[in-house]
Amino acid sequence: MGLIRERYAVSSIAFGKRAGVDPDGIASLENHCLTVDTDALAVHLCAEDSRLADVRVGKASPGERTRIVCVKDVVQPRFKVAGAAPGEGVLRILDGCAVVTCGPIVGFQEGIVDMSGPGAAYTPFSALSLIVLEVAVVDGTEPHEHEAALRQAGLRAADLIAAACAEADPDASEEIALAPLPDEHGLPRIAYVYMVLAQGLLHDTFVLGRDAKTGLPMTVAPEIACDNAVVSGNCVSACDKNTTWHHQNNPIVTELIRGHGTRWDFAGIVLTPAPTRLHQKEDAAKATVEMVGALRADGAIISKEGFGNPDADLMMLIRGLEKAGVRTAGITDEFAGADGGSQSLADTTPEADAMVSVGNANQRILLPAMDRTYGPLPDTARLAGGYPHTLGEDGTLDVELQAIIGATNQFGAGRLRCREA
Amino acid sequence: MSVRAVHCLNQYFAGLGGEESADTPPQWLDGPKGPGNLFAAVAPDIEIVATIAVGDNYKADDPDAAAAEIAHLIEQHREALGGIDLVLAGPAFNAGRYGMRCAALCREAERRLGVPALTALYPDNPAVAIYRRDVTILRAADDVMGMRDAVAAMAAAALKRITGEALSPEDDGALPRGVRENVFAEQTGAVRALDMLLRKLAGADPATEYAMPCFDRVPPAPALADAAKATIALVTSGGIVPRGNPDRIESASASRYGA
Repeated sequence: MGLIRERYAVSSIAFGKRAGVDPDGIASLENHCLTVDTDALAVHLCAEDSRLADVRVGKASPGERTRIVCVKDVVQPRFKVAGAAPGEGVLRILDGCAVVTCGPIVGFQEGIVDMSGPGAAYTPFSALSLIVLEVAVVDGTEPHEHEAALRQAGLRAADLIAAACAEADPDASEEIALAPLPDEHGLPRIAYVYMVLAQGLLHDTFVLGRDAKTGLPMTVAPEIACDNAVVSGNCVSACDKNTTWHHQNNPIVTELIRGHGTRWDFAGIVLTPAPTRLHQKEDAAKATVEMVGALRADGAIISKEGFGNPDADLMMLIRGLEKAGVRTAGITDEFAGADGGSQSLADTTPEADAMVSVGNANQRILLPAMDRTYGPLPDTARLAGGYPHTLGEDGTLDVELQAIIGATNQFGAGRLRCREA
Repeated sequence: MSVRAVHCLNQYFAGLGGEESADTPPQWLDGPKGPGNLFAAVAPDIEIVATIAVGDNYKADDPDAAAAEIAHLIEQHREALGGIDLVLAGPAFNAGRYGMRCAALCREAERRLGVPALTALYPDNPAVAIYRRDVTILRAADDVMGMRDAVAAMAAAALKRITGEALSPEDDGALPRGVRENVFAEQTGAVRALDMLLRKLAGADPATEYAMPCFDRVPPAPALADAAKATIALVTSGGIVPRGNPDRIESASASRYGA
């Protein structure tokens, strides 16, 4: 049994009351236009969570002169029809749109989304119609509660919006069910080693509703990975934060499914944690190598989240897998300094002879002033990738790519790369 | 389009003689000499209006001072020439003194004259390690057999630089400057990674996008005679600060040191 994904194309967002039947309905979808009742959504979210002091709902569309700061997470509206286990049943997906949570800084590592101008090319979210939740929490909320409140508000809003649209007819439907290949297919077996941050201190990920600090590494079926299995609870640098949207649309999983049976035999996925302590890293790498071995993989592709500390996890995984006879390709970003002349990674290993580089996150970029801004612009000076002088008097931002959400995503979601010059 | 270039050669390639003429100070010669004539053949748009010939031994112990002198010479002739657009030096292949001359002049000429300057060297030429960060160096063979290819690469790269286009090791045969630069690729990182893994599994060169750096081993300093009486400083870039963070070092993108 597989997962059926019903896709609804959203090309624009409008605000207003929902016409017709359900007075409490928060959203509706007609002719690819998503109409959101902003008051009802805000009231609903605040009523459910006493940590939220205020939720203001806005929207942003591709090409607008709009800036969103400090973005905590991005979530694609999806609704799982009740009664089915993870990886099975019907998942309804609103394509072309996303819920964005933003507001005052949580942990220095939120980011910027520009809907137009030079910054727009570096974030996938400039191409989507966005529902922006500007969230303020009550005074005295601890950072970890602030993180949880924003995370849950984004997930809840996405769920409510998608659920309200379920009566529309989908534009497309697809079933994900990976059949085992017949023997003697002659294709290489490729596993995906899917690293998630599990460091604590606002650097957490949730897998099937559970904190990834426990229970990982684990093998997950591709159908489950495609079914909202992984949620971001991270305040890691914006450029290489795997937002919930990235987990929902993991391009490595998508590509591996696409080529299964023609270019390779997709052996499976091992979710592996990036913890903080050395012995935890060693234990996780060892267990992951064993699991990849159990999948009988010839090769493994390894993705990363964050930088510095996780560089060590990546190198341990590569070293361990290569030693076990599994060929590897890793994806990483670089922190080579503004001039590109510094050492890019915190750790290296000679076995890492196949690395895709998704960009130097220290590259500076000047973002011109926008007509409209969501969130507190002065907070950008305190973002990772920001500087004390970041915000110019005229509203321009002088930042590193590091401060732009998704700029150097290490699932390889974007086309940015870094090369020798 | 006509690009007006000044070309720097050593005494040998300028036809002034071999090692016996290696002390020759900078000589100003009209038009192209020796390899300069090859440029006209491969790139009619480039006109070499003058050649500077310098002996390999001339101030060889201070190539930057010699470069300043040569750049000054070009500056003096600049107006009479009706302006210049480009400085070419070499190719110098794997020649040590000549390589230093060419690379040092290119750096000085760009800074002082504000025009593109480039040379071509063998990757192991000692001048590459010293000047590659600041100078456009095209890849050349290790000896004069590679003259035509090196001149062609220099000419093509020069015309690109004149129009303000960036050069890359992949597309133009420029030697890496030891810096990393961002570009947008045709394919996403995910697609590139899977293609790379398939190449590696097939036994081909995976064509990594980030070659692992090689680290020098630094020998430890001699042991202290009496560690008990030593004042020891701990230097760290690990983000560790004294209690209370008295130097107010920022948690990210730190702009100051503490002590």
